[in-house]
Amino acid sequence: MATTKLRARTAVRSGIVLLATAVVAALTGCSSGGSSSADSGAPTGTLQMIVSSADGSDAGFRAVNAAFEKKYPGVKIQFDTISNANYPSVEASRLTAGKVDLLTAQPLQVPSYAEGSESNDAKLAASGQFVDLTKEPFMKRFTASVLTAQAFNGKDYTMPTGLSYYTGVYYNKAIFAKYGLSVPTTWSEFLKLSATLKADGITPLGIGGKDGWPAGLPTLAAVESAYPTLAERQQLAEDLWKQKVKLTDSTMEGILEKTSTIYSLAQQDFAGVPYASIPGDFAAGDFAMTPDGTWDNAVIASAVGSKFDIGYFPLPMSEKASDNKFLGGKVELRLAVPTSAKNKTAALAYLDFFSQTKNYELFLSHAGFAPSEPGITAGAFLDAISSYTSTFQPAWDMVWTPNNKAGTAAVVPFDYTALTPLGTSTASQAAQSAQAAWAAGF
Amino acid sequence: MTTTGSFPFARKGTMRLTFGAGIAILAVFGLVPAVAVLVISFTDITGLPGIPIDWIGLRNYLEFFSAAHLGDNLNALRNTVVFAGVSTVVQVVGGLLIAVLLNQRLRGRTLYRAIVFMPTVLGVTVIGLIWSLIFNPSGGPGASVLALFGTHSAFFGDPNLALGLVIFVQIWAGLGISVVIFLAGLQAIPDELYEAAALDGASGWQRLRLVTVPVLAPSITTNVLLGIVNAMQSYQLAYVLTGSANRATQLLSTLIYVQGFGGTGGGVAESQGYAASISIVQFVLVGVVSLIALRILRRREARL
Amino acid sequence: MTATRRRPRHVLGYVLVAVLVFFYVFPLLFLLNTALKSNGQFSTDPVGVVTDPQFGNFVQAWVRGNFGQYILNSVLYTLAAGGIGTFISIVLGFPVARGYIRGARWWNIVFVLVLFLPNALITQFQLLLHLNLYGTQLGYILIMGAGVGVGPLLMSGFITSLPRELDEAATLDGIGYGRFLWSFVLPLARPAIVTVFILQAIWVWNEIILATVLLPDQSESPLTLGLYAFEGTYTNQWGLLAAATLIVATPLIVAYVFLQKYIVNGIAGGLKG
Repeated sequence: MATTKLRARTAVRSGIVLLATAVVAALTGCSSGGSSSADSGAPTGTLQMIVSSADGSDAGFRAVNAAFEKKYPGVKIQFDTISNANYPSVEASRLTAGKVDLLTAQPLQVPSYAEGSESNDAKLAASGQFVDLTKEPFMKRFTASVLTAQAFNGKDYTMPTGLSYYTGVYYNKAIFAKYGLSVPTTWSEFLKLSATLKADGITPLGIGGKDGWPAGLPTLAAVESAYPTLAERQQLAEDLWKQKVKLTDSTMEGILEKTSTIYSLAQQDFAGVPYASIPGDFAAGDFAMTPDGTWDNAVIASAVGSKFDIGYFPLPMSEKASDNKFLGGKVELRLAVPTSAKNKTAALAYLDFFSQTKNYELFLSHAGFAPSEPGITAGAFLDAISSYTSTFQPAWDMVWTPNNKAGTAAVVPFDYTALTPLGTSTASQAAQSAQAAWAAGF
Repeated sequence: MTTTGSFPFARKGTMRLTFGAGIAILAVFGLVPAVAVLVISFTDITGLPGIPIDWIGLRNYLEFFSAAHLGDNLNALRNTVVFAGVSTVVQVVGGLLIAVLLNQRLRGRTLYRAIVFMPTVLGVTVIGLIWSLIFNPSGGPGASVLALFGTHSAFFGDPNLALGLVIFVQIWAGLGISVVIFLAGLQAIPDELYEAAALDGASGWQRLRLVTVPVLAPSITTNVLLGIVNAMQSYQLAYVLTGSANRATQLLSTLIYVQGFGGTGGGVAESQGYAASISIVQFVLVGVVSLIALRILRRREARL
Repeated sequence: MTATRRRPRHVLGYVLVAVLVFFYVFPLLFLLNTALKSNGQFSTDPVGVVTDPQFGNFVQAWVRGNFGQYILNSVLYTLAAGGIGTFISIVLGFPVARGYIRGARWWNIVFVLVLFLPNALITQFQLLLHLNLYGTQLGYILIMGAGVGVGPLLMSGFITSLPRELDEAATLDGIGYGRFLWSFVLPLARPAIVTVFILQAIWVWNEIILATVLLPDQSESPLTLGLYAFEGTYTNQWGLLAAATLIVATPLIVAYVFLQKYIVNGIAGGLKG
């Protein structure tokens, strides 16, 4: 009947009007964040804080939050911890709605040759959505090399809460002692050590390959050893983008070949072993070493208990010992204050409070990060590796900018996922397919 | 199938009102945002404040279909087709048989129904955990069973097995929904039909084929469509079981996630506009497959 | 109710059921096994049988996941959105199935389209923001209520099995459309209605990402947000996460079992009457 159709049409019409309004409004970028008064004085009100969730750092933040609220009773912290996978959506929506005062963000500076590949956080920093913290007095408390590594356009938009290193391996000191092995400092020493272990029926390495990324840690270590200084890694990235070098060149392919060798030393069927079961298998003595990050220290220590002592050293993927001296790492959670924050006073006061030695040590004791401030006691494990971490070295994945337009084989861009047993290619095949995928992006 | 019948009731007011209300809520909160996704797929919107939004036309689509991505997309498409096809067929056939079984007057059938239903209410993360543990090559029950036969396997780590195992878990997790829908449909079959068939000398299997299946035709259609849609849209299970960078199990929906938000393999986040364009491509693909399936099934329904 | 009973196939039926149950119970036992492990125990031995069951995990999960605060919210959202969705499914499904609305053929296609609409998180967020419903329970409920999924399709399919004579007989008795739906269709279509409600309820109850984005205030968060407390960047706290998942799943299972009695043969009675 006509009236039925009319009703349907009315619904459709009003729907279109609504859609058009929404789209027009969105396209004109209607903003909602107000400007908060630049108070100086004790912080009050609500402080809305969102972080990417992790057991240790959540506990750390909660401890610091409680201390902060105790010091400033007028402040109530609304602390939301969101899982990694969902964090980008929440960050975007909260910023758009102007409902966040403090958040974790990772604006990675993208060099000029890779313009157009900025992540969301980098875009936010570039368009001034984060408060510039460079001149804030509390930033002086942090290690210089860390601040340099996390600078964006020469400014600091985030506060580094800690560091993690992941180009090394945990090792079972008891097994090493039993077979008279010492920590290897060159690739040949490492291979010899592994051969000895194998001859004695011990699997040298344990990798949790099912989750993908743990099998990429040795690749990052290989890059770290092949390009030991930050400048060299940055140059490599630039050369790849400008197509001055190819992924099939000998050094690049060498990285994949070394990764393949590492895989041959890993436990049987490691491609199907979940990352979560590695600490248990390590504790049971199934293998002597495991490439992992320092974030896993607490878990591995609790799994091993008092069975044996654990150590950590950089995976030496180069023939020269001096190339293998340092661990590559990244700045873990970085706190930023959006310019649309309603309570900037409290946010900045929080950052100041957080970075004070006593509170920072409280945070680190829960979080398990390495300190980004100098002179902090960090616990036995981190102290033991301090010689490898005296200068902060951003690992390859912190320096490299992937190209959206290239194929997924060129994301790392060293395609370890194609190597057997994760995939079905040899090192040279993987290098070729990665190069093809990379070149296709231009 | 749906013939325009003459409205037998006195006044049409209530029908128009309720139908209109239903459509209004569905349209405003469900359909309009979906259409808006199409609109934003022609922009480089990031969803972040302070960043300008530009109309870029078909550029997102061209990038998706570009030569660089072609290999990945075809691989994902192939995986998705296998995944959707196998899981749908097994879920529909298996769901039907299980529903018939659990419709019998067996003792404790409510308990059995609840058990089969349980996986559908557990989160994907936890289902992923369970099966990762069961198929853990270093000491899981799967490995123990294989050890009895003297072999071993990497299970999810084996590029040849991985997709099959993911399909298996998807079926395990999804059978419950099929069963629930079939159980509802089975209640529409009056006992008289079975009695009449039995009187005519039909065996159990024949009764199933000739009485149950035809009357269940709408439920079969629903389940087939649901199976196709779920399989083509779900990425979380494959993601949790094998990571996002595993080529053997990469589905079209995983690509959307990876290219929209970056995977743990270190991918870069594209704009939300790009993610929207891939969603639209997926929508069209699923739409074509579903509408074809719908036509085939509706014709069979009509015949039955 | 019909008095005839179908002969239960004793042996074969129970054997098949046993196989089926094993297929499901074994993995679920794994889940329970994990839920009883402490974090340390899980790291040491993820796969093995638990040696020191931590029943306290459930308590700890409840407290750390803040479930006490969230559970009422979840119940509210599930009942409200499930109710709205079921309502929509019925009032759309019935006229389309009967052909009382013009273009029923096209509406059927809409019902199928609704199954696989593209992920509209960002646009739904913008919609609520502009309607001033962002961060409100009403806005969230409306978005969830509109997620009817398979509802209209299922209802429409079920309605076609109800004989048309019913409608005509009702008209002859002077019953209008509204009362007909309420007094006749609802009881007869109970299995389908309950199923539609269950399906939507599962989805609303388990929804996590839409809730996280659309409900920033913790006081409005549903149960599922408590699960974030156990998920991390590199690892999760599996023991507590498993316990927490069981806590979140239990009300749904209980509701499903309770609703089972509505998914019984109701048609036979209707036909005889």
